[in-house]
Amino acid sequence: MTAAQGGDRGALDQLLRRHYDRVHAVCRRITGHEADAADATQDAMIAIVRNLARFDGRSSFGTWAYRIATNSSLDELRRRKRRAVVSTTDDGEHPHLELVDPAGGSRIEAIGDHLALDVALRSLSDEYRLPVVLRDVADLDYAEIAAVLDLPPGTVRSRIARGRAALAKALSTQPGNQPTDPERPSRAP
Amino acid sequence: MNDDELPTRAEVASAYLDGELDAAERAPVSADAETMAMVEAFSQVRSALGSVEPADDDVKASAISAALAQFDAVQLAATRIPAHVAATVTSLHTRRTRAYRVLPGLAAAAVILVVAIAALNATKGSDSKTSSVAATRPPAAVDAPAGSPVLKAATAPAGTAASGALATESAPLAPAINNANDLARYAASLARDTVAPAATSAAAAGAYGGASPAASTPGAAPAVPPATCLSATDAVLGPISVLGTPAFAIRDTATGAVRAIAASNCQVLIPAP
Repeated sequence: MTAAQGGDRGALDQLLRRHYDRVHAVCRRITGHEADAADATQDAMIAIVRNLARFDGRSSFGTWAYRIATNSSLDELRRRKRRAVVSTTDDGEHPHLELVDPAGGSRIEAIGDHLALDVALRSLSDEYRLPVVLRDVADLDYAEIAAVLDLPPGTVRSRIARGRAALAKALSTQPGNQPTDPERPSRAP
Repeated sequence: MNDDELPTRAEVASAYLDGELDAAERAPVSADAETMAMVEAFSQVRSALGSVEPADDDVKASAISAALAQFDAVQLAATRIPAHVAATVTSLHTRRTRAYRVLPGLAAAAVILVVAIAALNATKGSDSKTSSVAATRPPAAVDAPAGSPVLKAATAPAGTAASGALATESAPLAPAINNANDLARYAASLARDTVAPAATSAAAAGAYGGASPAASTPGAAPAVPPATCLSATDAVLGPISVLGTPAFAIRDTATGAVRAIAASNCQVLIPAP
């Protein structure tokens, strides 16, 4: 890490390779889409390099990198929403509409557990999905997640629990105590 | 209900799974089958979330290459400096140390400069020091535009052997002489005993390396007339400007007659009456 900050290209290469898979996993779970995850991960890698000199070591490098990955994923989601807006291809007389990213709409392909999980994750709003992903994918503790998301630790703890409960229900597990309160962590209509 | 209210069963199960409960809190959870079932369900969620298929190798290589390209761009930008600067790149610490090392020298130089300026100013304000300063540098042209008839040369102490140098200092103030009457007034304004005899003036000319002042400063009027232009009894009163021509007022100490000669060739411009 220090060598990479000092301009050692080889050390930087190793650092990026070491963290790539986990950063990709975070991006994959937040975006819920492989292509978006690839873009978000690449953006995160570039952002890590660009901001490496500013990393002051107050948190672990992983925590810092996951914060960047989270932000790049959210940026990618915002871009995806813009891409999902229909665009026109005008042939002169018969303009028609087509989806730029057909998968950006209702991408429900219930084939296998992974896709079911993606669907379940997409059903969660960001406020629940992000803490769960940072906990279960990035393996950050509550304090680190609180720092990344700028939330009180108590809120992080509560949102992780609710998010997990919603996912467990969506995946047809039997958590035993389904969240039935009005603030069920689902995507707002 | 908000996120910070009393923990629900799900929160307890979640915290249990994450190891966020201490021993006292874990004991009742472990004894509660329903809560433990939830813990198990959450554990399965965690496993599912964590099982992300690794990215394709090409995608990974492409992303890392892009990041390294960013690194290279930053490095390249840092090296886009002139070669002579790049060749002397030093660490910030070294630069700071070097700066601290140089600062006393700069301060000393500044003090010397200030003292020198103050000395020069003091010299200009004191005629008695003018000669010594002026004598250390080549004479200036005496064909400066005629200015006010202030005659610094008139106050020069006798026998300082620096009338030429004085002329240099007062060159811009060379009085404008248009005719014999002007020259007579000019001469009368000077105290006879303050003017160095010609021989001394000639010696002053020799002080500039033995060469004629005119020769040492090509194109410039001499600060003192060549000795060959003067007789043994001539004394230089000072530089003047005769109708715009650089000249010298010369008094024959034997007769008291005053004449003006051209500074360039000793031609008599205003003859002695």
